[in-house]
Amino acid sequence: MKKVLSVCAVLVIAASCIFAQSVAETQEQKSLTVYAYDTFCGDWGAAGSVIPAFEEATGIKVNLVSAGAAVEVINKVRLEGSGTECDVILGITDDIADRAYDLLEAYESPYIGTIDQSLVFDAESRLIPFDWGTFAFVYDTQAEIEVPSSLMDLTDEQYKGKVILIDPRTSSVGAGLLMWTYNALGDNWESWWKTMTENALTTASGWSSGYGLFTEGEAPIVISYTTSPVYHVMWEDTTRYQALLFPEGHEITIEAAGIVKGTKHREEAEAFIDFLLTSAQVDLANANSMYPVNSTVELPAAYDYAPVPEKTFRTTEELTGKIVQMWTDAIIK
Amino acid sequence: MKTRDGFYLRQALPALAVTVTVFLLPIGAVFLRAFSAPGELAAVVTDRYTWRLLLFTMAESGLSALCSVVLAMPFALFFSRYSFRGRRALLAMSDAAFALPAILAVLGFVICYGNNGLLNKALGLITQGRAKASILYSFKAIILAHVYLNFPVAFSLITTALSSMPDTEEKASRLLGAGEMKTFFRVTLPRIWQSVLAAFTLIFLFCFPSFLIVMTLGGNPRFYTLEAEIYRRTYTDARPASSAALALFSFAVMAVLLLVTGYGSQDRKVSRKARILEKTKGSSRIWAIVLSALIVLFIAPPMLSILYRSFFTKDGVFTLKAWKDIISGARPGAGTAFSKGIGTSMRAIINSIAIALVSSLATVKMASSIAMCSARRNSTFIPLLTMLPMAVGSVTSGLGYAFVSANLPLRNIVTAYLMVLLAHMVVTIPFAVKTLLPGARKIPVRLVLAAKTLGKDTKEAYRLVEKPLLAPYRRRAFAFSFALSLGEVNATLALGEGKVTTVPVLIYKMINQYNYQGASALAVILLAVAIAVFAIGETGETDNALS
Repeated sequence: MKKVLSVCAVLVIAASCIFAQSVAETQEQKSLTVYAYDTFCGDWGAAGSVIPAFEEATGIKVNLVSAGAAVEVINKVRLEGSGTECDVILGITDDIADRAYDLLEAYESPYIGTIDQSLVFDAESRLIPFDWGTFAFVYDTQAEIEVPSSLMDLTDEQYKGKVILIDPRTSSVGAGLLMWTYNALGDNWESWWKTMTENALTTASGWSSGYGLFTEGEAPIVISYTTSPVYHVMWEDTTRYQALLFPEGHEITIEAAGIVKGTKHREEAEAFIDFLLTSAQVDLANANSMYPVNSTVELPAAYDYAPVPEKTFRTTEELTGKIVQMWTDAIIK
Repeated sequence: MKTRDGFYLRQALPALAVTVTVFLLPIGAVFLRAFSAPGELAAVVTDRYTWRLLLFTMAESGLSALCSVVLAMPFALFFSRYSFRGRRALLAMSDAAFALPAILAVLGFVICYGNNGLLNKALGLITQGRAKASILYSFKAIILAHVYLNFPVAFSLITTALSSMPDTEEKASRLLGAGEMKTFFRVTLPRIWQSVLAAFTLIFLFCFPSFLIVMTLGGNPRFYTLEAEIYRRTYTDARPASSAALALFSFAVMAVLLLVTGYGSQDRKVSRKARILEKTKGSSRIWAIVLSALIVLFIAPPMLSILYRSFFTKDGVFTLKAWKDIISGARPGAGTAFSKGIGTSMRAIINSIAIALVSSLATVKMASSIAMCSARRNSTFIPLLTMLPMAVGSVTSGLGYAFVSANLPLRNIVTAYLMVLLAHMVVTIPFAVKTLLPGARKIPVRLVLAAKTLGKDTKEAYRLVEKPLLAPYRRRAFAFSFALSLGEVNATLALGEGKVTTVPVLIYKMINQYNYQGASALAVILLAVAIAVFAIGETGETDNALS
């Protein structure tokens, strides 16, 4: 009797499990699986507005998978190989693009022309830019610190334990910071990192965990974007967190999406990319706190709180790979 | 005494087969992958960085184990000598603390001991901003978090060992004029040396594949364990062959450690004479209060901080938002709820409980037959075999199952659940066997023989005599397995394919979306469920009358 009961219990549990999972999965309809980075899918991410709008406009059901940091998104698809369910990967940045190219199909969207052409980095249209941003250090105005005025300033003893960095090996933001220092400081980048790795409070493995520690008040300075204050103005109505412009110049990063090779939902995937380039552009500016790639889109007023640097850098992905390796050899090994 | 009957082996064979499969499957997949690119293994072994990682991993786990054991010793000595109010409750709490998931320790530590944590806020208030404790983001933070999770293991194991040993020799030593210190080092320590070593080894093996704590609390990219590097190569570096090779290296090291220490510490003699605990009085009563308070002060604050944070924003404003979000399934901030039906959190709670229930039921069933078989056949080999999965880190097991899963002809929600269940059993089976084995060994063979002379066959004797006697241990094993499965993050994260989200996975994601309050609320639920299951597991008196 006991045995029968426990078998029944297990069956009921298994059934409810699958049921719970499939409540959201409605009957057969057009669907699309999108892998995106965690922040995009999260509570504060753009997914909350972009995805429902897309579903409503097209009737295509989106299965959004939150697959870790951008770098991890690529690797998830790679690990799953030909069996992957992923149709579209979203959030791959230009500096790690070469890691993704062989997994993607080209798509010449009719809306490619609306993209600011200086942002198009893949001539073969495998990765299509949808928003972009500029890396900057963000600081907490309520912390009693002297505001640093340059990258080199940060190496000063007074900022010991006050800066949160991000690991260039595990995060595209970390890689962006590395390339920023490489482009802005020339040969000094290595010594900057040697000092900073010791001086920093911590080197987080991803932007989201680093920024989480920052907003918890663990340190007053964090590497993020010039547009990060926009989020706080828009959703928390506070100007407490401000981005710092440094005279050495700033590094630009471009986020792109691509269609995964061998997708069975090519048509839906194309519709999704088109949607990102058109109707979603304002939403992305609102909820993702990044500049839309369509420069004619009118930005929300809160973008006044995103300072615009005069001098900017862009880096090719080949160089990024090489410098990250040099960083690893110099700092880690 | 051995029974020549093949009954126990026949009973255990299916379970053993499953255990071996559950663990060989991912390791085999990793093995194949590592050898599919021949150069990788050689490259890993000859890379100096591999050895530096190993050195750091050994240092980190050795120091954590040493600190835990040394710290636990005075507490264990006192708790095994005196009986006082609250003694059992504290021991039970330590048992429960053993199953605390690393992710809760990380969350609790940041909220409690962070630069802007509750401790520093309190310090700031008391000293008007003059004093500040810088605890986290350092090597010592890694050790502290490991000791936090493992001090209870050492405390519980050594206390149990001491309590089950007659203290006549200590009494004699004191009577002959040796001081407390001399008695401890000359008489007690040599006798409990095996248990101390076993505790050290166990903690060492826990800390060896530490990953989350090292990555988040270490604060320096140079502080990397082998497991962290395996994770990095797999998920951010796209070098599956290289990470497989490194995983194999790590497994080899762990397996050797496990086998070497495992043969030594097979404690098969069960003493039938326990000691009688003294009642506390006078100074020993004060000591009882002080030591109990110290344990509570060590274990409770991070968990209480999580409870506090689930109701308050970081600026100390009371809000039920996090709890309402769990119930409503709403996605605050941008936009409207887009996943219709029950919310992500509720789904994760159902998933977690269901997976933990199924995997621990299966685990206990298999582990009991394995434990009985090992006890009756007096086998050293079988328990050791079932301990081997402990040598597989959770990242490695997740990686292995990801390889397996990528090669499945059919992949859907059912296979995703199945993979997660199997991966959880890699973690739970060794501990269930470890918990059940002493219980199985305590059941005297003469009882079975008596049943047989009364005309029962081995099967019936097992069912009527041994199984009921094993019941309290089964409950304990169930509680442990349940809690372990409930807290498992790495393998689930790697395997769930975004389809199977459990509570700790969601906590992990919420921390990464800087939603500390939401993460705290979920953590409270996780803790509450674990404590409830432990309370059920502890209801049975494990020291049954027969011993």
